[in-house]
Amino acid sequence: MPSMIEVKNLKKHFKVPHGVLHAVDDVSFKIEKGTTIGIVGESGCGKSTLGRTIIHLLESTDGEIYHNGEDVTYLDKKQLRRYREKVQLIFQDPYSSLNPRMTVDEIIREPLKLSRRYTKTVLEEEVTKLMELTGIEERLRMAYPHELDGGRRQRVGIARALALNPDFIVCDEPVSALDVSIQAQILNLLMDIQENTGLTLMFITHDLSVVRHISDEIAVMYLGQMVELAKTEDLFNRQLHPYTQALLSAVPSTDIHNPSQRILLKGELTSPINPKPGCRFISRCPYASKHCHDPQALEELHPGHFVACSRAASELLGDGDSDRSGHGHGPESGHGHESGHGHEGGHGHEGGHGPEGGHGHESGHGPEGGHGHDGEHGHDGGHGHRSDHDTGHEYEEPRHNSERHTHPGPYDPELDGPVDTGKGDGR
Amino acid sequence: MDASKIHLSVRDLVVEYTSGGDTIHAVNGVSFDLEKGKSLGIVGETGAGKTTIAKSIPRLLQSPPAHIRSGEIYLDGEDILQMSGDKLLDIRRRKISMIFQDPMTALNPTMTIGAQVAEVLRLHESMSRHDIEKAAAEMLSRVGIMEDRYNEFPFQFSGGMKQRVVIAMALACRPDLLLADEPTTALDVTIQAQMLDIISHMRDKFDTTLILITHDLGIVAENCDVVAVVYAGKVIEYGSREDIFDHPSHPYTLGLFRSLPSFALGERRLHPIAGMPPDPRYIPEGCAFHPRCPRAAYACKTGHEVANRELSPGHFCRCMFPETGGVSVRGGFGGHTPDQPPGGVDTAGPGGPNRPPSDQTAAVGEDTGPGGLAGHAPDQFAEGGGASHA
Repeated sequence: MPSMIEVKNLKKHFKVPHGVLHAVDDVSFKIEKGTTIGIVGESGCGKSTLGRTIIHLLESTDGEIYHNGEDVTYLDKKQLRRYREKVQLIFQDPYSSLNPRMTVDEIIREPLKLSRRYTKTVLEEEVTKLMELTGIEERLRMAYPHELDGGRRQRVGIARALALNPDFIVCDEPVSALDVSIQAQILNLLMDIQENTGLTLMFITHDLSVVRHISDEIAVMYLGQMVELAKTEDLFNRQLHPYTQALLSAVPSTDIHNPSQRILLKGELTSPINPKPGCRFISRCPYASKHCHDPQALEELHPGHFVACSRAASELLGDGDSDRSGHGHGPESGHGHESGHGHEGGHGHEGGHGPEGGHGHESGHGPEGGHGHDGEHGHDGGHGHRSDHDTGHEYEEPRHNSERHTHPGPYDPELDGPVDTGKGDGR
Repeated sequence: MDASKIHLSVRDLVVEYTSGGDTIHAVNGVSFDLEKGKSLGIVGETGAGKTTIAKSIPRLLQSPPAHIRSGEIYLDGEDILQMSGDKLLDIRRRKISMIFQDPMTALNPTMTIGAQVAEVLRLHESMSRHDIEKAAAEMLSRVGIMEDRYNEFPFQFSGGMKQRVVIAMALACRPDLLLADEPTTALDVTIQAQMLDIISHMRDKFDTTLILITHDLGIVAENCDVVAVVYAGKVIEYGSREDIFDHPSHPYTLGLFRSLPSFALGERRLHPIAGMPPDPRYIPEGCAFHPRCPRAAYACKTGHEVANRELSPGHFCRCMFPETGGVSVRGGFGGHTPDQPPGGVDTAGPGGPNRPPSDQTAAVGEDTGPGGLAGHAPDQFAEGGGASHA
């Protein structure tokens, strides 16, 4: 059975005055029928662009998109119309996504009418059915969006999206603007609908507890790239990418007796305009070493667990416990560079820190500090002065907002974001 | 609470807004005391009156439409609401700072970052121009903004950096009391973690009293000593962090916790609070929460105001039928699994949403361990019925 949605090497670039903004860069993944994939990442990481490109609200720059096994990368007007009946979008802001001059009835009726599938009497029934399904009270049929509260507006948005029985819906932060109690109502509604209709969902959000609850699989994005993809529980049990570790640790926990061990990241998201070929997380990464300047490919390090981090990959390969199959790429080009330095053996054992995080705190050493196998690696992360390495690339980073962190190095609490104050998590 | 240590004391605060002939009852009798150096978290849903409470303290509410009908706000023993204009300005200069939710609108787009921080210092302290600039640069570096960005404008900064500037401005004069109104809501989690870390270090250093307004219970759990849960302009539960997170007693507080996805680990369905928050123009009689409350009885719906009961020293709850069993609310990403199904001994609990809990409830509750919502089926907090938990 073909996957509901499959994208291969999808790219979406925008031309901006100072270059090219890589909003989505070489992303490949599949979504199986009836499942939910959660897309998480910080603002500006390209998660919304990814969703919109898949449903053709934006045209892709490169790559392929398949829907039910059918190539939908390029669609003419007629095909697009048919495709749009099958894929839908629920927006974050129900305040601005509903036409203020239409009643609830008209908003839900419009797609039904445009499809020309129904006669007038059936149309009426369909609207009623959709309102019941999404829990909108009959008395609100003639109400205008401004008369509704956020939760009810979002229900109208959901009813409209469901009108033509789509098989795939992109939910772009559908509950982020809602209070927790209302958020829970909407999440329950979406899960019920999915259970009853076998709908496939792509759930874009920055709220990790929401995404954990609703998703079967989670993809973590950073600056246009997918850095980790795994089954929900796998991801929460074991994060292999340093960014995922930091992201998850940053979520405040309501468990007062067991506060989360925070990994404070340095700086902020760098600019996605004209990015360098290497790992884009490098300027904030506590474990950055020179291998990170090589392109990172998304690799399957455990069955179903994909990571784009050469450090995580080499660690696991060193342990010999991974089955190594590239994902959408050839054998990653990243390791090609190492041979020039002649220390692959050491590299295989680099680290010895579990990916579980927290290790970066022992500063003053390279990331491999105190490890028997570190060999030449000791100096890699130690100060990370780029010019030391004959890597053939120009690594001087452009001046971004996180200007202080052009030197990748081990996590050093003294250098951390809040300079004078950042003693790691010692509060 | 040691009376001599009380820094801020709010008594029976009532604030109304008038809009188009309607009266909006935003704050309806709020009282609390806060000790020097402690942090209070105010939680509640949109429209509950959280921001109005905070803005009343430095008298930042615009009047009209807002009107402080009654109440007293004592800062170091002096009633802010009775102060003359000059005195008030002085208090705002030296003692109170506020951080607003949206850093984008809190900064002047035509002034450089450095000049804005320096302005705060210039207005509030008597120093030479040179010293002011030095102090401003130092303040900025404290929040991680290097000196070379001193002469840049807000549009050159990202959201997280702007909020850091706002924090630097708020802390520049070492306020005794810091009011932070959703300071991190507009920010990403990794930046949020940085910001809260900065605030917490600053507090340690200057012994600042903090009022933190948020809808995120996780932030409260990690940053606040005392918690006030606000509903329809009233503090419906107040207590230490341990009181609120280990023994939430008001059905609304319980409902908030049960709505969190992290609470429902291992369960597919979430348990939202039924219904919607009340329209602040027409607040229900009796307990304002009764239309949504699974325990509401006749007594809750009549005109009498529900008394504020002290359940244990310092733990107050405005409910006729508070939860008194051992309830533990755990959540987050600490690898929590619900070790016991909630409501194990459900049969002794109330049978339906309209019956008040019987006296046995408390007794039953004590047997149920952590993780269980003692004596009450979670279904009660879902939309409808009180069917027992399987």
